[in-house]
Parts: sequence; structure tokens; C-alpha cells
Amino acid sequence: MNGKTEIVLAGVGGQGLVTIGAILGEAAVLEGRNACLSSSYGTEARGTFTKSDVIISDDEIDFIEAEEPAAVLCLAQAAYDRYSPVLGPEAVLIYDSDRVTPSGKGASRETGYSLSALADPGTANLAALGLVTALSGVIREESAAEVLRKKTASSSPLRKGSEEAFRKGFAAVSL
Amino acid sequence: MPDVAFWQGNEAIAYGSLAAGCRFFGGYPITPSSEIAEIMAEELPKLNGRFIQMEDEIAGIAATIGGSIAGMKSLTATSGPGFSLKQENLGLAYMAEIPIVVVDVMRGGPSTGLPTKTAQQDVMQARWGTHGDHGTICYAPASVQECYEVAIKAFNAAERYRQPVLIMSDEIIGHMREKVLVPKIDPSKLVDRKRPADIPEKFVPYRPDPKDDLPCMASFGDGYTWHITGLTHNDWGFPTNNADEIEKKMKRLMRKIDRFRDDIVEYETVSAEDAEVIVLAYGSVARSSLRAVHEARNRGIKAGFFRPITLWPFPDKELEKLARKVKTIIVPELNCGQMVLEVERAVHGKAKVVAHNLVNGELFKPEEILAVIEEVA
Repeated sequence: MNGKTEIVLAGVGGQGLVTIGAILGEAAVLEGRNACLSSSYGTEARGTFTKSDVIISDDEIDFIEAEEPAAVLCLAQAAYDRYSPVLGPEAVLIYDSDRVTPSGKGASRETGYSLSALADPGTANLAALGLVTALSGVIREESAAEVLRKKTASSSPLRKGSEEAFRKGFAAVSL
Repeated sequence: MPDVAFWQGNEAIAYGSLAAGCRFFGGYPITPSSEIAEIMAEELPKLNGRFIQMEDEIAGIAATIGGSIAGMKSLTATSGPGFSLKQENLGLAYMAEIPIVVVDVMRGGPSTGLPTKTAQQDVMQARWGTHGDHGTICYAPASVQECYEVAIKAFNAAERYRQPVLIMSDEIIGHMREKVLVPKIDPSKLVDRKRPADIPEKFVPYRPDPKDDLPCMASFGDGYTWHITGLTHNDWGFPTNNADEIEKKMKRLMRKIDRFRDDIVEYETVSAEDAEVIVLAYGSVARSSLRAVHEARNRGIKAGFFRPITLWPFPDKELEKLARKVKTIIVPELNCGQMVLEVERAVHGKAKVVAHNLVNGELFKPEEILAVIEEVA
């Protein structure tokens, strides 16, 4: 499985994780690669654990769930508690420091960012997408931005300021 | 339409249906199929089509049948609870020979079950859910690309054979997103129902063309008189108790699928030529199974993969031929054992058949299937 990268986006329902998973995957498709997004969530519209697995590969994708993620985004404590103890030494874990208290004995490459410092609540998921894009390097910044512009131009629920929030998240990594 | 898309399975079914010429949707939104209704509501008016959200699932399929009688290629989409409610009118469409396409994006059951979790518990209902004998055409897509493709095939089959065609998707296939290469549609590859060539006075609505056993279909409003009933009817569409007429109708209902069975059946095999163990899987389970088969090969086990694309008609002849050469066929399913019964029927003792079942709302992990392969190899 050469050239395969798996990313997990985890949190609670209503945070916009499936939306950013779709942007990530579409950006990869735009770059000519294969991508698959599968999501798991409950009956409630908001508040219960949800995760999206994004697989980006140069080959055909058979199994659709992430098995060895290169990056995991955790926007809720439940997500952090689930992934932090089990991640391999190469994987990056990114968490929202406003919502997650790190255990101090978790994954070897953990970084917290305050999403409220980067974006409004309505576009916090896009700032998180910026973080994931920069830290994983799996897609180009401009590919994600292009998908974002396309989606905000059509009748999509994405808010104004989405691209700005994404760029801010992306830039925060190199600070 | 883009050349390349990153669609959900449900989106691909909706856009595939539109590409096939679908111009009517009657339905009632239900998780995990709602995106199909959503997209059809958005797109149909732009194509001079019609979308109606009905008061319930029963009315949804009733409107779909009506849309087809009025001359439009018609679609409805649902999940298990709605599929149960639609069974009676599904029977009406079989009996009256009305082409429609019905999508069931399967979730856990029985009853309202698990709205957001996947299952494959409706596959026998697809075959036997409505009462009375009839042939069944049913596709089970295993990727988003295939969702697009089977939507077109389903409409072509419905129009050609004049009966309902089913697409049994599941929550995972319906909601996952994948890259889709959207093909340019060749209009000559799209099938439209045969319309009557005779003048209205000479029209006999159920008189079959001797060439293919299939009658022409007039549209409501075209000036042709046509009596439509769920009662067993003669060539004029009127109820009959005449034994010869009854037998003629019933035999033709079965024969019109049986005689074209080889044109309809579709399946896929991977590494099956020299396999000793075959994993037979459909829908989302095919994805875990294919990985397990690849992994087994890496470990030196002669494993192969067989995927029915049409669950009905089932590729029984083809599987039976393969079964003569293999030791064991493993059938993983997200139910308590349904298609495995059809596999046993097809294989007829020529290979050992092992069921492997999961009903907790999750998808099999490849290692779970690999463990079974290793156990039987």
C-alpha cells in the first residue's frame, strides 16, 4: 500500500467533522488521487461521539476504515481519550485545547491548539482543517482552498469566512 | 455534471438515476437514504421533472407507480422500515408490470432498529417481501462508482422488463464518499419502455410481443385505454378467473426474467482461478472481504473472492461451477444468515459453506474475516 495516508477526524456530532472530511477527500481527488470518507455517528443530531475516516491513496482503496492513521484530530475529550493511548509513534494527534485536557502520557506527537483563538465557533472546523492539512501534509493548502471556494460559492451551508479560518489554522502550525 | 466527483453513494444513485432519464420521484425521507430524496428534490425541477414528498412510505411508492404510468421513469428510495411498508404496492407494480426503481439503503432492523448503523438484513425481503410469485431484479453496489452505474442499469432493466427493479445499498455504501469517474452518457445505451405502435382502438395492453414476451406500455393521457389492476388479469387488463388466462399471465411474469437471466446476472471474481477458499460477499462487506483475501494471499493461502452484483437473479450457475473446484465458501454478512441460504442452494453440497455473521451495526474488520479464512484453509 504505497502512498496511502489515513486521517481520523473525531469529536462530537455538530462540530462539522464530516464536512471537513469531505473537503479533505475532495481536495485529494482534485489532485488526481483516490479518496474515501466513511463516518460513524449516532441518531442524535448533536452531542454524541462521531468520527470520520479519510483515506487518501494512489491505489484502489478496499477496506474503508482507517487502521493506522497518520493524523488524528480530536475536538472532544471522548475522542482524545479514545485515540491518545493507542496511536503509534509516527502519528500526529491534534487536539482542541479549549475542550481537551491532555493526559500527559498519551501519544508521542501530540499538539494542542486553541480553536477559539483561531476562528469563530461557526468556522472552528475549518480552522481545524487548516491544522490537519498543515500537520499531515497529505494535501496541498491550495487544493483545500479551491474546494472551499467551490463549496461556498454554491448553495452550501458553509459560512462566509470559511477560507479565512482555514488559512488561519494552516498558518498557526508554522508559528 | 463534473467528470470526476467525490460523492456519497446516495448522491451517486441520485445522479445516476437522473442520467438514466429518471424524471419523477415520489417518496418519504428516511435515514440513511434521505440524501437521495434531497438531491432529487433539488435537481428534478431543473430538468422539467417532478418531485413529490408524500405523506408516508406507502403513498411514496404509490406516487412512483403513478409517475411511471404517466410516462416518466420513476424512482423511490427508502430504508428497512419503509421497505416493509412498500411491499404491498411493490406487488401491485409486479402484477401490473409497471417499471419503477426502488432503493433500500439498509439499516439495522427489525422495526425502526438502527437508523444510522449499517446492516444487510433486508436482502431476503427483496426477494420474498411481497406475496405471490414474481421474478426479482436486485442490485447490491459495493462502491460509490458502482452506485452510479447500477442506478443506470436498474432503470434500463425496469424499462426493458417492465417491472420494479431494486437497489439494495446499505448505510455505509450510502453515506461514504469516494472518487467517481462520471461517464458521458450515450443516449443509445438508455432503454425506454416499448410504446404501442397501434392506434388506440387496436391497443391490447398486456398482449406480449412474441419476440420477447413483453407487452407495450401506453402512458396515461396518450389516448390509449388501459385497465390497471392488482387482480390477476387477461391481456386486456381485466380481472379473470379463467384458468388458462391465469396460467398464461403467471408463467409470463416468471418467464420474462428467467429467459433473460444471463443478460441480467452480474458478478465479480478476484483470485478465484486457483482458490481453495472463496469469500462470497456483497455491498459494504465486500470491501472488508477483499482486503482479507489479499492479506490471506500474502500469507500463502489460496483465497479467492466472489461478489454477486445482482443478488437476484443470483449468480447460481456461475457459483456452482466455481464450487466444484474449491473446498470452502465463507459467506460474511451483516445479518444472521440470509444470502448464505442461497449460496447453499447454488452450491448444492459441492463445497463446504460457512456463514459468518455480524449484527452490531458495525462493518466487519478485515482481520475478522481473515481469521475465518485461516481457520478453514
